[in-house]
Amino acid sequence: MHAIEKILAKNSGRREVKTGEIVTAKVDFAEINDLYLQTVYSFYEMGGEKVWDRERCAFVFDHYAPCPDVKSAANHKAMREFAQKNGLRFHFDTNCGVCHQVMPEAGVVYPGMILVATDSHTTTHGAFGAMGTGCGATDMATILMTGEMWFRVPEIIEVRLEGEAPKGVYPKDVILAVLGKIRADGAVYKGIDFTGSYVESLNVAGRMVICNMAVEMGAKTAYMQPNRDVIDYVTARAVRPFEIQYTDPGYRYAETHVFDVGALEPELACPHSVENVHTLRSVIAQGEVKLDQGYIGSCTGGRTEDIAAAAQILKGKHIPPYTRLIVVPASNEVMQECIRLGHIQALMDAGATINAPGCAACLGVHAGILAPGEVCITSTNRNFPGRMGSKEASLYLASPATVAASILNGRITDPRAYL
Amino acid sequence: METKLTGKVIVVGDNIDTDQIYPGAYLALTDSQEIGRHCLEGVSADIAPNFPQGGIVVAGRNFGCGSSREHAPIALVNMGAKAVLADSFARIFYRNAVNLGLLPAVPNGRDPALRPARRAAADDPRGRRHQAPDARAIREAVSIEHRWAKS
Repeated sequence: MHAIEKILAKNSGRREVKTGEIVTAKVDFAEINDLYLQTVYSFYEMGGEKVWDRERCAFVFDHYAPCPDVKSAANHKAMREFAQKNGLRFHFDTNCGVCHQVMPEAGVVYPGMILVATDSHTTTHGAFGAMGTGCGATDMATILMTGEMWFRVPEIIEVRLEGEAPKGVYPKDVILAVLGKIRADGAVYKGIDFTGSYVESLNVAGRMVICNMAVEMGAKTAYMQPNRDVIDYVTARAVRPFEIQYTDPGYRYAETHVFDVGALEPELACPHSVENVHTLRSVIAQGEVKLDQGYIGSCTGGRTEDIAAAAQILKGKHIPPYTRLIVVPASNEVMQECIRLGHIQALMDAGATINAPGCAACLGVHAGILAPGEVCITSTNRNFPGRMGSKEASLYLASPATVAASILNGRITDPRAYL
Repeated sequence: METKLTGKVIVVGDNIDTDQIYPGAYLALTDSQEIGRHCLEGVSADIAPNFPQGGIVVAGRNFGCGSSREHAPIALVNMGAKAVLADSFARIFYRNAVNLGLLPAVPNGRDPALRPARRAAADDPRGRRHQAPDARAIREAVSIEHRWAKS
């Protein structure tokens, strides 16, 4: 069996599970973000009274942190009341950050668990050897009532990433290259296991970037076998004991895709689709792409490593007039670390606007919305029409280093010139 | 189970994500009628006001990709859609649709009457295959019959 199957088997009380089977499995942790007041409505509509386990579910107020309008404030108020009424042990208010960053930081994510959250990017937690998957409000309400959810045991695709990344190629470039090949629906309903020497030596933040964007290929979940970095991270933080699962030798994947990371270059996902991936070089060769905004943040590209990469390029320089750079640390912890390391100072000196930790403009609700006709380069995960505001705006997805080098020049630029 | 579905249709393209089905700007809304009024606004603001009750959305591959927002199927239901027929669906959207009683189906055959509209969706004038054409599609909507496999 694959490690993902072993997690599903363990949590559904079975010795084994097979691809395509439907199992009802225990959920180890459930998270509801602040777009999902509907979860509370559905919970009461279906007859819910108290959540099944006050230790195993939490709200994270990240998409509207802090609240931009009365409606979102009222939603927070209602969710806060629900959390208090149920005496939830964990609560992440608007002072915390993006759910996929704050949950691992708080130790509620660890190997071998099932994590379900009302957020598609829950695939991120494959980085920790957990099975993370997203759901909607109704499914989440049933989890809050029963502690369980039904799962179809997915086919598992192997994405083998071999070699060392050349200078200027970041985990974001690697996952964009994978996305360009597998496409936006290449892994629908499937699990993706990222393997290979690149993954084995990758740090926690880099692993999270790659697993995060598995959902952009439609994946139900992602997985990476925990390495030393992950084990150290979770050992220092996990709130309960955990058991790492291992894929059996000889396990047969539904498909295998092999990438030579050593041969990759900086990549871009061009407007208006995540699968519209081209090398940065080829985009520049086709002509200058002028920029209005650079954006560094989100559950994909807002960690200390991402902000450090941008600060390294921008330190001592200044972005040109009539452009702007918005930086949103993924969490309070990330922001404090970046302050200590001097990255925030360097970025502010370079003309960046620093926003409070949260999802901010990644999903177009506040803090960096684009006007019609504007062009933005961003370290986030989606460039759909209208994602960051006007549907007449254009978004290029890139690594934080590419974002920094590009906004420094006011046009899309190869970061390798600055490294 | 009913195996034949008849209704007016709107045809949209491939990879219609949940941001296009329900833009982020309206995510704080909680009234389902109000949510329905913004359905598919990321494709065209003309669709929801003109959508016929009991109509059907016909799409290409990977309908409902992206964000897990349950607002997307809530919007479709409250706009008056009774079904979405697509070449394929994104997983979370599919589960959400079933939970809300919106039929997401992958038909095993397509009515020939749909072909011109599907071609128009694929040949979006801006060359963006993932995007739907403008609201002409709804104005030109035709009544069709559709069959799909029992499963």
